[in-house]
Amino acid sequence: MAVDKGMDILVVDDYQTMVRILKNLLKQIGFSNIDEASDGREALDKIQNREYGLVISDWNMEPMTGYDLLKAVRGAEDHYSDVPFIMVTAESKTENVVAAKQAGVNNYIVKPFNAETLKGKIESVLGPIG
Amino acid sequence: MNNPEKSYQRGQVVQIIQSVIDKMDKGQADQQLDVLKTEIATLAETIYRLKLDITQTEAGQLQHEKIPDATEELDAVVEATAEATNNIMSACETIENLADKIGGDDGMILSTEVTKVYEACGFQDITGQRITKVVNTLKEIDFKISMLMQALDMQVGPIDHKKPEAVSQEPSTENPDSLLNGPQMPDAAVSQDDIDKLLAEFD
Repeated sequence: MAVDKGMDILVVDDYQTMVRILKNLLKQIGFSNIDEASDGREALDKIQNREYGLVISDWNMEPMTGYDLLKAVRGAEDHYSDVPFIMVTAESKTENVVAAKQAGVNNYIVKPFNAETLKGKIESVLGPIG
Repeated sequence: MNNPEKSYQRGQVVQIIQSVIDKMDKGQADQQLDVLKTEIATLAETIYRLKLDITQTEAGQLQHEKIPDATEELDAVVEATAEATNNIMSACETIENLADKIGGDDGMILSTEVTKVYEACGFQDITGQRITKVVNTLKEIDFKISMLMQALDMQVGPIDHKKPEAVSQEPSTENPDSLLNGPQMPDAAVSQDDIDKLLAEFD
């Protein structure tokens, strides 16, 4: 089944430039409903109150990191606990990738990345975009 | 030096020396006192020379002027690149809207090129994180200079006793802060391919 391009996507990053880059690339891929948050805490509030089809989050943010957000989401006994979650980060140490996977991340993109990688990882998590 | 609570002040040093004298064998006190006096004189000479060396290296100027100036300059670099990147992206968004209107092959070419510019704009995020690491290192050096000068009873500015963020630690899930290391240097970085292989091992 093809991905619903009208689904809500949440982009989480404390660098406004990166939020803008991701939003523009997602629009180019075909997604139209893109929301944003500047750290894990703001993102968690949004996730608790809106049904997202995908969360794309940075790791290194304050006060709540993307890793803490991932653990909070996966640890919740609520409707959002299994939301697809892709980490997009400059943290590229093996320990980071293993920690994220163990916490339940669906895929992991290391910065800098390109549109093709972003599209490929979204497809590997959600299925063909078309 | 890292922990301000472990830095010895002059009063504490005097107390320690007094304690040593009190514990000395009274029978051999005079002889031991002479040895101790010589040792203390040597220690005093060493401290004096250390203070002189620190003065000559202008540590105070480094602490009060050069390090704050350097961090300020680096913050300005981040700010300027962020502003420039946002201007570039605004221009790209305008071009992208025009590409949609133009349509056809030309519109597609324009759109593809705009995508490349968006991708390239990621440099601002990476350089910003790298500069933040450098700023944290400078703050750590500043902290250590302050503690050293304070321990030597030299004049220092106000010290922020909160230890600056550590620049590097052994990464561990037990200490999530240790997983915050920012971008790696290209020759040490794990590639996207390596990450994909690692993730595949979990499937």
